Amino acid sequence: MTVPPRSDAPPAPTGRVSCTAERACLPRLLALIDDACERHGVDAQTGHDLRLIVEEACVNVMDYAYPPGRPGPLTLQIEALTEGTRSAIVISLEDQGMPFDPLALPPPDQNAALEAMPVGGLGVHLIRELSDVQHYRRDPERGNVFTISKYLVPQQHT
Amino acid sequence: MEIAIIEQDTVTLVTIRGSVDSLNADQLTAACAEPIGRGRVRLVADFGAVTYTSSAGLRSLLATVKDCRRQGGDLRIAALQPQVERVLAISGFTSILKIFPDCDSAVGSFAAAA
Repeated sequence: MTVPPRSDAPPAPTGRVSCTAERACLPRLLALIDDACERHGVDAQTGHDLRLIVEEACVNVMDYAYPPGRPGPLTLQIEALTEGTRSAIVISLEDQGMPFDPLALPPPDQNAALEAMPVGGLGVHLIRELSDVQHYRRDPERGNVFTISKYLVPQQHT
Repeated sequence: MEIAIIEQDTVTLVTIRGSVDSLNADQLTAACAEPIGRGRVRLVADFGAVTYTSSAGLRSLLATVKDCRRQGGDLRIAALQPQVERVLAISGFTSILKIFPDCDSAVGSFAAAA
């Protein structure tokens, strides 16, 4: 465990979990984002969205990055960054699976009839809609690197 | 997530509590498939105590509503909390599912159509 930053310290890198890309690890990964939200005083709405983003991004890696039955590593890192007056939570996922750019998926057809409603791609659609910046790159050593940022709305002090 | 099933005349009320996510959405699909398998194809999902659903939960609802409508019934959603309603809206589900402010109106909507 890292020591929590002092209350007068600026937001700092918040945490990292490395695990095997399988469903059993999901609670640990979700706990990381929940803890980060609590530590940085993130409001309930934003915390909800960040948890959803982490679930969708991690489950995509668990389901598609590796051959069935042979899961490899998944690393989730959460950082709280401040740039000028703006703060953001930055979520980074890394895996060593086959190269895959989730942002290359076309958005699902919002007007699709029930029977044609797509079952795939919904997770990435939710990530796009609930975050502010998404970026994918293939790194020669780190593998697939998917970075998602969500700006924090300053808390109203009354 | 907890699921309770109550049969009210021809309507089956599925009350869900907690979070619907990738770890438990299959349980929701199975819980809804059971009455459908017995020909009870008019379902109301009470979302009043659901605080979170991911795309896994949406896929469960989609599978269930398709199953119901194929057999002349429907899955209707009641009492969505704002955060969950937003996720359904972003995903286009608010236009394919019939959504009601509370369980009574959702259950009653089947009687009105009968």
